[in-house]
Amino acid sequence: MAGRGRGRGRPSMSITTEQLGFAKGETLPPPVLQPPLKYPLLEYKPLPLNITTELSYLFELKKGYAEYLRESPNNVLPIVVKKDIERYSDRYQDLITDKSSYEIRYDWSRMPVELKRQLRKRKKQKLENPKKKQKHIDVESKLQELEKKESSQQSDVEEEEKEEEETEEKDDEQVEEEEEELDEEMDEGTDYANNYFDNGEGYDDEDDNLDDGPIY
Amino acid sequence: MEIEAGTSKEQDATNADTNPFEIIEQKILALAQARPKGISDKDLIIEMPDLPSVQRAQIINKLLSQGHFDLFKQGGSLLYRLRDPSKAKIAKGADNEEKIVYSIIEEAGNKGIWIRDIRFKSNLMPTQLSKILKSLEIKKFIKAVKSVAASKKKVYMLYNLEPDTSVTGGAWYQDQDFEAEFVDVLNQQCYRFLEKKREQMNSCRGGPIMARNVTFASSKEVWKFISDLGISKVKLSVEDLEMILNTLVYDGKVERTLSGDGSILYRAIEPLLDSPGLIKSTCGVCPVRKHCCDIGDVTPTKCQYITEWLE
Amino acid sequence: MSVMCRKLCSSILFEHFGQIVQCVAEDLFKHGARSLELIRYATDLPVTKVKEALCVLIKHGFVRYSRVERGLEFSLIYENVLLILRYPKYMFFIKTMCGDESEMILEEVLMNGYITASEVITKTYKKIEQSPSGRQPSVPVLKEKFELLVKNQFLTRSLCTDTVGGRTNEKPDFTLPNLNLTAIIKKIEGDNNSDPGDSKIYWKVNFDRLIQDLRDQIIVSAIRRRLDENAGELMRQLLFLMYLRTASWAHTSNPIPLTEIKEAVKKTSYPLLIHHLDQYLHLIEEDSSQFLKRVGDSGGGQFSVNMKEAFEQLAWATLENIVMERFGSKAARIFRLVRDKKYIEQEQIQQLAMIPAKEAKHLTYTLLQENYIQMQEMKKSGVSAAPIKTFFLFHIDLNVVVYMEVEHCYHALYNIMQRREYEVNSNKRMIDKQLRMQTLTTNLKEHGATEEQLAEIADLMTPSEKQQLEKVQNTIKKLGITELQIDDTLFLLTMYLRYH
Repeated sequence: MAGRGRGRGRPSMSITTEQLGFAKGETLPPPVLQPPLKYPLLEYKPLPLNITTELSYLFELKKGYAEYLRESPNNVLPIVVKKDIERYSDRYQDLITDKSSYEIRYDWSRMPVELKRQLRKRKKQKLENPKKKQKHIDVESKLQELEKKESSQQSDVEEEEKEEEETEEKDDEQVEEEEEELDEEMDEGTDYANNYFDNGEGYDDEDDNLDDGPIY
Repeated sequence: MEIEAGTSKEQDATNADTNPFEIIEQKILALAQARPKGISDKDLIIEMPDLPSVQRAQIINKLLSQGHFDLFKQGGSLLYRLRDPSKAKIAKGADNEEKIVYSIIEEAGNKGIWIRDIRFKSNLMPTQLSKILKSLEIKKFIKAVKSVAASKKKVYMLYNLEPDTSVTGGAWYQDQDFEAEFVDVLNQQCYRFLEKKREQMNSCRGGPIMARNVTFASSKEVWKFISDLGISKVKLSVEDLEMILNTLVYDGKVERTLSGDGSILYRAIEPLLDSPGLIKSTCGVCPVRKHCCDIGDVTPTKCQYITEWLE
Repeated sequence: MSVMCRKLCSSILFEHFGQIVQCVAEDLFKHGARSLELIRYATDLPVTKVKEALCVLIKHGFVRYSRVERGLEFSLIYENVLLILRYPKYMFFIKTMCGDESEMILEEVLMNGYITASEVITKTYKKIEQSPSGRQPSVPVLKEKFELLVKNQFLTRSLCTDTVGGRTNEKPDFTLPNLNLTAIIKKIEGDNNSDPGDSKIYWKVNFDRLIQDLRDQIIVSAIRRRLDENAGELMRQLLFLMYLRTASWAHTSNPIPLTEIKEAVKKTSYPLLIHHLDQYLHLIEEDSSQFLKRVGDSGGGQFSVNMKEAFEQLAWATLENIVMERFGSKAARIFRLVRDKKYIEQEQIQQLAMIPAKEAKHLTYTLLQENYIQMQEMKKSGVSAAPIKTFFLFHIDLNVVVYMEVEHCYHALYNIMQRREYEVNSNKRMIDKQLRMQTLTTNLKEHGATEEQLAEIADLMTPSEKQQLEKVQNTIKKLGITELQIDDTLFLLTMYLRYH
């Protein structure tokens, strides 16, 4: 009742039986003993929907627009490598996951360059190749570990990341790069796990990158 | 108030002279008996032009205080009506409390008074009061009338009084029961009449304003239409019908305007909007929307209302 | 903004842009403006995907970014997301105003967020070429149609600064570029080296203008309903005259002199209106809807359109209708009565509404519980010893009820969308099968397949499958149309809130 907790004996905002039209002493309706129906019978039905030609046309426009966008590169798709089953939409998939990536679709004179994908010059990579391989294995094991406790707390993740950070400090940039590679290598099921390796410093990376000069 | 003030003054007068007064008293009482609906000061002036107004007031006040007369107001003037002689005897054989209660009820006139208010004004204990009320009721000095204002709430008034319409509810009540069906029928018939008037506008060739003006009907016109239909058992007044017409205004079907000569005009109107799209969906009228979310038994995908509606 | 609104926006984005864009937007929804890093952290998405999603969102005008100390911060403009619900109506409006080609151009712009004129002409050209209607596209016509859209301010230049937060309010730019038609034609023919002459000049839809047009349509159709066609046309003319002399979202128009109204009406094809102009003006002005006011006598009379009042009346009408359909005509009577009396006691309600006491109380209580009416406790002052010290007055707080119904619309839209998606998903195989068959048939037709071959493909679907498919399609259509309808209510109520 609305009047609950409003203090002693004060007339509350709740409606008294009298206000509901019952005189004092008049028998009140018996208490409801059954739980209410989940879907009680509708006392008032919705008004009929009159489908005019105009509405049909509007619907076609609506459907057409949604379908177009869904099939266009505007629908950002996860990175898929293996095709489990062949789908109708696969026909378009090649177009969508075009290797040239989303970047060619934008006029970067009016978009923040920070949104460009950051593919590194591959020079450093060669030198540190062995190290990287090792890391990769590390990644796999870690993934498995993480998958086991899928609902793991964020703090856990953070901890892991801290450990990671210590060992990684020197090759920040490389991690970035690795991600790009992983993006392409991993299959759908695990690609979300990528981010467990985010050391949270990618941001600075980008700044560094900017200093190197614009990349278009 | 006026009367009470008079009473104290007049008591000295009664002690002073008796005889001529009593004759006049008898005369007035006879006059009142001949006119059960009541007599006014004007009537008395016509019947007894010789009687000085001061004396007339004294005598009337005395009769009122003795309980011979009831006082009414009608059309701005006061009316004295003879009280049933048996009732006038209240003063005798009744104890003080009864007298007090009686006068409180008397004061309330034909609108009656609620038991709580009597208790409040009389300062009597509830049990004592209900005893007194019962005794007065048995002696037919007063009666209890169910008021329509609050269902089953009883009000007390003097036995011979005709309850006010605010108590009975007027034409719309029968034995304190609101005649909803009757009201609905009248509501529909009034609308039918106004709608017909509106249809006439299509054949009107005198321009849009003239066309609109033919759609107006005064309450009297509608009243005449309804009276001629003969669907009402009771006689309805124009005011009664205006109440009905106002319900049509609240139904959004009719508009009310005041005409230049002060009479009220009604006309059927079209609403500004089609029904809103929201209520063409089940979710627009859904009674369990508050429980509806993404999980549980009431969800958009499991919704039985939508399923039924899609069938 | 509410949870329901967020969920609705999220659904809309999912339907059009898929899960990743939805996920990124949802994060911005929850946390407000934030950096790329934080989005990436919270969404668990690969950074490239977050970037890509942000690009899509920025291009379609749903996300704005601003430079802060540490880099960029992105924020979501959810109102723009909700506009998607109304895109079909904008397209249809343009179709009726400027013709089919214009509609296709507008659609193309909507599909791209912003786009250059030459590109939109090229794309529309190809679309017409491929459409089954067999119409022959023409570059000059398309250019003309494009310019018509700009001239009417349905399209406006998309500026670099549009997507940057904290922008200075620059004036919309409608300057047309110098298009090289021959270059466009060459481009259509496959010559990628020709320069149409409008590189980096982008156009976007001027929603503000379209919103005003849909708003005006509501006003005109209300007057048409209330009075007649002629009055509706007069109202349209009045709104146009208002547009010429008044700031876009002003509450009332600057005074419009009768002489100008006469001039405008003369050009219409409504002889009765021309003949009875004074009377029609009088009727609109006298109507209880109060859309129009006479504000002066000079020049034969000065009139002012009152948008604010109009939308108050329209909001009331909407709410009254909703109450009527949800709780019945008696409840609607009580609702209107409370509106009329402003503050009213229970006893008066049953007397004036002429509804039996018990029923009246029940209905009043239901309306109160559902928050369509509000109750105020009053203390009787002075008579401290009176038995009843407090009494209750019922009233309606219009803003409260409108906000509640806006939420109701969000909820209904979200639910219907969810259900539509569910219906699509649970029949996915069949829908896909049909799609495959369609593609196959069109492909075969192109290669000159025989009737027999085509019939063979058609037979791939059994009659019961066909029946089932038809049922599903009808279901989806019904749900889709319902969304469009609910959005009408949402739009009207949003207009009310915009003025109040």
